[in-house]
Amino acid sequence: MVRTLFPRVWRPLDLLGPDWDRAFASVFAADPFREVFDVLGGASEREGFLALDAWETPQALIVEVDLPGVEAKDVDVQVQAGELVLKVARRDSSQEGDRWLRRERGVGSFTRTLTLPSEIDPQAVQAELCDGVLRLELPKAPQVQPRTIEVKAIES
Amino acid sequence: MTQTVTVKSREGRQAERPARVLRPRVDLIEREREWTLIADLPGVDSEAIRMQTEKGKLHLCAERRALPEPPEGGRWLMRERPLGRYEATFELGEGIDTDAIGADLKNGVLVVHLPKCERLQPRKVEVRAG
Repeated sequence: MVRTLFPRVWRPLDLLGPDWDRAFASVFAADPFREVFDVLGGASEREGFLALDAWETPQALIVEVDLPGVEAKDVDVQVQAGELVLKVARRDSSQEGDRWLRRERGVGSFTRTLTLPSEIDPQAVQAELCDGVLRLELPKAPQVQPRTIEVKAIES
Repeated sequence: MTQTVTVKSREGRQAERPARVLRPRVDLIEREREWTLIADLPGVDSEAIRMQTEKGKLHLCAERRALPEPPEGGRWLMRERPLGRYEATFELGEGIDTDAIGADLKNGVLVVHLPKCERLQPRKVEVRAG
């Protein structure tokens, strides 16, 4: 005789609106391999993993990416030929004997490529990861940084 | 080769990211001694997480740190990250030792341990030679 050993424990309340479905679909259906800053004229939203904000200041480009559950050693940032290539891996933390009741958090390797709108100094790029958020600071190359030119007064 | 990309001006769009209720992505796993709930909460401090059980439900609420804005003279290039508060509610069935629920936060991921109550714990039955 087969008997259910465990009671039915979880039942998600109906909180999953259409927004959620769309957010979920956008991460897995979108092509993550090729993107340029310009595509985001009509900003899309990726809830959770790999959602990205980027902004420009006169001196630098700043990029912040949501990478919950990713270790610093599993982040690879490369700047070359006017592109920023971000490769990350999120490890599978499942254990032997796990019985999955719900699985929404993707694992594996992910790549995003962004075309940089300005020339940057690859040697000066800084990256830090804190609380599942990666912050990149990409200082602009000296030749494209604004420069204030001093005007000397010359007595005639 | 230098690639040129036209970036549309984002001025005046600042107000277009209203704070809203966000639903975190979750994994739910049954293990030998507990149920484990794993939720992605990037950019959240542990002090900003509130979790409570009430009337057979587990409420999770986590406020995300404010997202930075470009300084004066700067501009947005991309804005995908949502602004707001993560919220999720789960109905707890029988068999969870609600007093023993514990959670920890690491790398923007919250792991909630929901131990099975005594009668559901695996037990070894000793067979004695008679």
